[in-house]
Amino acid sequence: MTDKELKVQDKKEVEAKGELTKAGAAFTPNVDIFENEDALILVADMPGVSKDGVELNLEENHLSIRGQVASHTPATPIFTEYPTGDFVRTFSLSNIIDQSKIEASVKNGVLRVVLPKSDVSKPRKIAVKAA
Amino acid sequence: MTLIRRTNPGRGFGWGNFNPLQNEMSQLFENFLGKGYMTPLRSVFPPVNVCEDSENLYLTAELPGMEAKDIEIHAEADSIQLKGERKIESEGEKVCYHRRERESGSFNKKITLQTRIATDKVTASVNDGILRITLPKAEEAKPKKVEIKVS
Repeated sequence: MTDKELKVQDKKEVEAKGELTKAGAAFTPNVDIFENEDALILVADMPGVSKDGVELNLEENHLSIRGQVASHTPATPIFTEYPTGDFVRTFSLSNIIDQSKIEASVKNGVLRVVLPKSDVSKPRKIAVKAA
Repeated sequence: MTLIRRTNPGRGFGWGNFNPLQNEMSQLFENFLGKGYMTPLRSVFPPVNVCEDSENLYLTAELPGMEAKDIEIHAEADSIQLKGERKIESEGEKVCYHRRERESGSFNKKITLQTRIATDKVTASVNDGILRITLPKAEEAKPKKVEIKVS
């Protein structure tokens, strides 16, 4: 049980580079990035994004994630405390990632991308030989 | 005491008048400091959006990673309370973090509604990290058509 109270984090709108090809605002999802011995793991909060709404693009060393949020306002808004829109964010990958083995999953609006490290970059213990 | 005329009540995008005191305050500041000053709107977690049609109020909140069992909802005739805790499971001791923006913690928020609702008919669902609550309006709060009698 954590005693911490959650604070409202303002959604950061993505500043477009060049012309936008899609109408509506896009936001930067909050992410955790961590690594263990075998992989780098990226977890992104993308509420409203289902499995079919996720788009992952790998171009050279840039991994971009895009989560599409179905926008529908069935009725007249009374008050709006948060804006809605797609989630977009791009990450630069280092050479240690084995790009052919990247895997992604979505659960409850949280995207999880596992980026396995290539074999050469895994930490190794070097045995010292007796001369 | 000076009377200050409200020149632009529905300013901002869709904030409307949901927080009259805040509006009043920022209006005062604006009159005092000139246009452009706006107090950032500090709300309680989770931010919610509410919209309505003639039958229901619809409330949505973004709660990524949370499931129905993590959220408690209490409905009263003119308010609704959202309570819960967002947990982020530990990834083990061997991980090291590069970035940590996602937060865990608890929340307890009460939203006062301008319309009376039928508390026994409230329904809620959580899907893809979005909580959706449908609050049917109480009979007396629904709009009624008034026939004009011709005398």
